[in-house]
Amino acid sequence: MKRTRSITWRLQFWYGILLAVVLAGFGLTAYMFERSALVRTTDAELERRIGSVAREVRQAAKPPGGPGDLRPDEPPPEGPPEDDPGREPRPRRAPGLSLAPRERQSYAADAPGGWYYILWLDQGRQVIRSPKAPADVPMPRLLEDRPSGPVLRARGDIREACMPLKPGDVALVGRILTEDFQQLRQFAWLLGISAVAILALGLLGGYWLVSRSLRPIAEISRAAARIAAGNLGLRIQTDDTESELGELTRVLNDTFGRLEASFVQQTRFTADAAHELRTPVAVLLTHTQNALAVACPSETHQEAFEACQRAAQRMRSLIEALLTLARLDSGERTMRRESFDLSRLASESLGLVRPLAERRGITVESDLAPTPCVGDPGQIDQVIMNLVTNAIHHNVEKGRVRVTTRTDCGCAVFAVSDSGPGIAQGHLSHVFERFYRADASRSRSSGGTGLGLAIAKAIVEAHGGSIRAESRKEGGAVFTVVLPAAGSPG
Amino acid sequence: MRVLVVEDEPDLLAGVVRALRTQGYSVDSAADGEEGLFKAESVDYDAVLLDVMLPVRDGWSVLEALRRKKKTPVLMLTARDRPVDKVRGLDSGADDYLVKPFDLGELLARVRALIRRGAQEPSPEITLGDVRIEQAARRVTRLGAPVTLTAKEYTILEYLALNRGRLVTRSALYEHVFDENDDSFSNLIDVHISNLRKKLGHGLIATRRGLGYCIE
Repeated sequence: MKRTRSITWRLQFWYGILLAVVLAGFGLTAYMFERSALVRTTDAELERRIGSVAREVRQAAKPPGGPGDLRPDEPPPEGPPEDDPGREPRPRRAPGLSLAPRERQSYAADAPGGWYYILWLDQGRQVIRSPKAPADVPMPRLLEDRPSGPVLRARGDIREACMPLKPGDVALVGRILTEDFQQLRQFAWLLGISAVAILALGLLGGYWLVSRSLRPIAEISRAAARIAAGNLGLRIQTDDTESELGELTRVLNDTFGRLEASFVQQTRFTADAAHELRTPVAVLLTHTQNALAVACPSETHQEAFEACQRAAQRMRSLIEALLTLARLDSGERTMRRESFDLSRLASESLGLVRPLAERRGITVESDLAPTPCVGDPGQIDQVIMNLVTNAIHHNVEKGRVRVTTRTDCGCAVFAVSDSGPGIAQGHLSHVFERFYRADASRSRSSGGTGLGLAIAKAIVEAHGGSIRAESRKEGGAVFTVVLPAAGSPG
Repeated sequence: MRVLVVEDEPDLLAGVVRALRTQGYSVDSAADGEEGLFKAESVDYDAVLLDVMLPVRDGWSVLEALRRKKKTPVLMLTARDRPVDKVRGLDSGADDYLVKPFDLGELLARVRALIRRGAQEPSPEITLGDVRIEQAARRVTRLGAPVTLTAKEYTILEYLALNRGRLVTRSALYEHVFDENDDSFSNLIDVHISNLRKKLGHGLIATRRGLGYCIE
């Protein structure tokens, strides 16, 4: 299973994306809300302040002496009152603002909040600034025929409200929001960090939750793998009987039960059928051999009896092979476990097959290093004999057979290679199947049962080993048996 | 040598009986366990070939009942070849065990071995002075020259040789040499003995008048 395709990782992936989207949406909304709240309260305050500034300026424009003199901090001007009819209206003095003390303080140089005001009088010829007012504030161009009301504008980090007082005069109140935006950015950082933390926590929790709920699946798959490996009596154990997985486990266990039953049935049938065949084959063999023991009346009779005898002998080997397989399948055949030297077993087997090889003019070479091994020597001997006689049968005249034993990576390895035609790629994966014949015409005439390699495979696997067939590039086939070495567990 | 074959498959029974007769054995047959046990108990066979799966009474119980009375060598014939079956067969008193289908050659060799063992004669060749008996080949030589014997003559000689040093009564000899289908008279034995003496010399077989024969 590829890691990126596993359910755990896919669930984690989509769940993580979903969580990230939700957190980003939430954080962005919170940030926008905070920001617009700041702007909104600032604007409301600006509108209120521009109102009071405008009011003050208008009052200051009234005849002096009034309560709203633009210079309240100066002593009241000397001289006749303004309503003196004989006097020219005196030139306007540079106006100040008489604001409520708290409000006035908020414009002071050391006041927090970044508030300032600017008054442009007489088309900007005269400008009054509060201490914190930036120097580069352009005079707003206001349409003078518009109804007088505050106009809001934003310049960078600054928000300003301006209001025409009378033609030529404009009042402006502004606020530098640099600090507030700074705080807002800090807030955004905080949001981001919390979001990442929540995402990490969420992924961690999600991983825990997913792997916890998928753990029974891992158990099911482990058990199923063991069952598939041939341990048909095994069942999936689970404490979880309520959830969907419990249901799945029940269904799988039922299936395995039926599989085992049918497998046992098939094995028993094979064994029974083979047993039932024994007596008729015994009849055939006994009578043909009886007939062959006396002089036959004609050559035709002789040939017929010989053919019957050959057929009976073939049936006999088939019966034995089928029974061996049935027993290996059912695990009934008791396997001894003892330490032995694979190379000695191999050299004994080679001694037995040499006459067969010599009849076909085949050279048997061997390279037998002492190879300690664990298992049933009788059964392993059967495997060796099978592979070596196969190598002789499926060889060319005057060919070569090479047998090696060695210890490799803690395993006992036995290999047989021949100089025959080899095995076509398409047949390689099938040669261990029962009754599979790579070359039907030839191997049938050589008297094989078609079960030898299947038996070899069953024996080797019962030993916890493996067997494989390869075709060499330079021609010929190689069969390699790997068995647990002596001293290795299992 | 007289052999009993207990086998319920008629064709197999016929085949085995024919093979044994060809080899000069006197062969009785039984088709079920009950009949087999009755015959095995009433006649001193040199060997019994017993099938395991039999009607009426199976081979195991026949063997068990027979072992309570007789030591007749028994070869079990069976379609079961698991090691546990073999162990059970040998443990319950069988002397040998042969799995079907078998080669006739192997069956006959096992029967010969069984009879030798029953007579406590481990060697397949018996030498009696200048007469030599090769059991496997059923060949007899005198001073190295082959002697032609009929099947009955050979059987009588072999039986006497296997029981050499012991007195063999005429009835025992008759029982081991002729089977249930032979209705020849017992004085035929005297004819065979006299022929054997002619071919192998007069000193070989001694007559104990009124009792029987003996090879010293």
